[in-house]
Amino acid sequence: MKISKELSKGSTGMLVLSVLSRNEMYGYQIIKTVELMSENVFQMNEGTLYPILHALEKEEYLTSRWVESEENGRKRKYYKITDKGIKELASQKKEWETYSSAVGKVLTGELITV
Amino acid sequence: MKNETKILNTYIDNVCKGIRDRKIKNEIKDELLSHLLEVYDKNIALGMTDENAQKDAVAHMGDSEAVSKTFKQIYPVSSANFFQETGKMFAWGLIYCMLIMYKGQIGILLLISYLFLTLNRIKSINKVLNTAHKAAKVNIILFLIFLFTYNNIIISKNIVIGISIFFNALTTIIYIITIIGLVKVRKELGEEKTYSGLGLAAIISIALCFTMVSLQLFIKQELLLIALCIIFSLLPAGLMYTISAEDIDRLGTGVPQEKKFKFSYKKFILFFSLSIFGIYLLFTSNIFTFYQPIEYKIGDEQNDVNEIKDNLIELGLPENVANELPESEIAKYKNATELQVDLLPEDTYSESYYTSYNFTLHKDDNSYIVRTLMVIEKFEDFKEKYYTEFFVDCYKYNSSDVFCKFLCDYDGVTKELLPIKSEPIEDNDWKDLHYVFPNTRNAKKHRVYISMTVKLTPTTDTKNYFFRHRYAQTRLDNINDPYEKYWTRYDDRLSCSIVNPFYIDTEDNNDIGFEALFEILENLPEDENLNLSELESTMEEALGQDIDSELLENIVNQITDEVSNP
Repeated sequence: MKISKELSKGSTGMLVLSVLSRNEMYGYQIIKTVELMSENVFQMNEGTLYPILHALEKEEYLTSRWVESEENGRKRKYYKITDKGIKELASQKKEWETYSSAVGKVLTGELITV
Repeated sequence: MKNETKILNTYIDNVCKGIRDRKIKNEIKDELLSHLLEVYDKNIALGMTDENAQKDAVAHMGDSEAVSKTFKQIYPVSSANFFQETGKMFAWGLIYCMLIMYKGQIGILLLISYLFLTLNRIKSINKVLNTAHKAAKVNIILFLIFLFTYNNIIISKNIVIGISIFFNALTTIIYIITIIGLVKVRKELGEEKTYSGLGLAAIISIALCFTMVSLQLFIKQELLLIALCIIFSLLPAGLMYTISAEDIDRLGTGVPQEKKFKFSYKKFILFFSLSIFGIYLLFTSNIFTFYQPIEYKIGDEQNDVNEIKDNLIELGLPENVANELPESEIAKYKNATELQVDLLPEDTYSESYYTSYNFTLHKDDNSYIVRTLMVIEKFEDFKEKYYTEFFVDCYKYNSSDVFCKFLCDYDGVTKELLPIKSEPIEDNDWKDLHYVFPNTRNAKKHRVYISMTVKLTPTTDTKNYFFRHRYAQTRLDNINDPYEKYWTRYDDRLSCSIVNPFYIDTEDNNDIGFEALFEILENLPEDENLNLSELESTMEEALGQDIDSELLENIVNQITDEVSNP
């Protein structure tokens, strides 16, 4: 099922932080990890990932380093979450949980009228 | 590889074209290329053609314009970056210039190091600055070569001016490039930002002017104005240094702030502490006098008569004397570094008086010229012809190369005077040189400028050379008349300079000691035995300084002979 851009737009940053909170990764790897973990629900435009990564790094939620690949000798830029990023992730997660819980209640809960 | 991945590279160039910072641009390019090549490799493994593999990789990335726009939002075009670098360079450059004045070479080395570091940061901003930074580095290296291969490494005010001009020129160039860049990216910035950017540029230009003016004022020692200029130039420079680039942009556009300014208090305190420290050094160290003699030590000659005159006045020549000196006389003192002024004691009877100014002039071949300017003024209305005699005792020590020459400037005419008796100067001997120069004017007030030049060159023997003026006197009659009748005699000893060719310190007053010794020995009763050590301690007590015992003994022996056998 394809998710609309508007719906996924706001959560992409949170997803990236979440993935990186478990392991250091490079861009292509992040995309594939998110796809796999979401069972292909989230298939982000690869072009939008890198600006997000740069924005997160500028906010000091991530740090990066270049590593030479052992497979083909090419350099890859690996990203790693910072302590500040972990705090931000926790905050966004809480916000998301509150939001999704509220949405769920409205969608599936009993009707309560004024 | 580049040709094979032309489609990928074209895509990346389109994405990155709006990013100004060269360093960031190159990083993004590398990162995107790395990603695209992975997708490309995967596509090739799947059996796609080269072209299709590239097209597919690019398609996965999305529209290049959209991606580029997103990157530009993260790395907006900022005029502030340039201003910030300019401001930082000014701020630190000013501090280092102050250090140069105080601790010449240390300051220069710090300044050069800072310039190199700053230039390294600037080169990544754009191509033009990249080229400019290479030119600037070459400039710095050439400057260093000049500085350390010149004979004297002592810093002169001219070098400081040179550094500051160089420094100001460099930042001015960057500033001009910034203006051009602002106009060029006007569309991207939008009108509002452009005008505010230009407003910031105006602030920086004012800071530039104040900095240059303040450096010039250092030379003229206008302390209050210097303080004001430093404040006006440091404040905007300091702000530039401590406020972030985004905040400068926001300041310029007046856009309401979503978050607070990123103001680094640490940087602010550090910067202004160093500035205040620099100002403290400026006002408490004796740097103004530190400069004055040094300029001449590196062979920097002045040719302008007014400049020479100003320097003589600064050295201590009374202004009224300097203003009345003929230009030909002033020009002789263009290398003057020290001045010793000898005036008549107040209780000396005089119908006229003389003042002697002994200048020590240093030449860059390590020889010294001692030049005496004697100003003789008469206040009587002499109807008769008169002339002036000048007595010089010249002591030639150990075959030194001593050259004495008397030049007399009279009514703008320079004349060399020959001694009445022309005799060779023997080694280790005092020789009286008697010069007479006629004055024919009947003016009530008359000045004669007598300059005596003694050129001393160093020899392997590092002993002192010295000469002295015994006295000068004015006779009212012609030379054949008995002098006792008409002489107005001034027995005051003119102090002279002991010029050690290897030192410039003329505070060593052994010459006075020897004159006093001469006096003592001349008046010594015949039957009194001379006790050297007692004499030495007496002289030391009278003069308030140490006397070289060996030299004293030597002189005593010779003077004793002279006194005994006139």
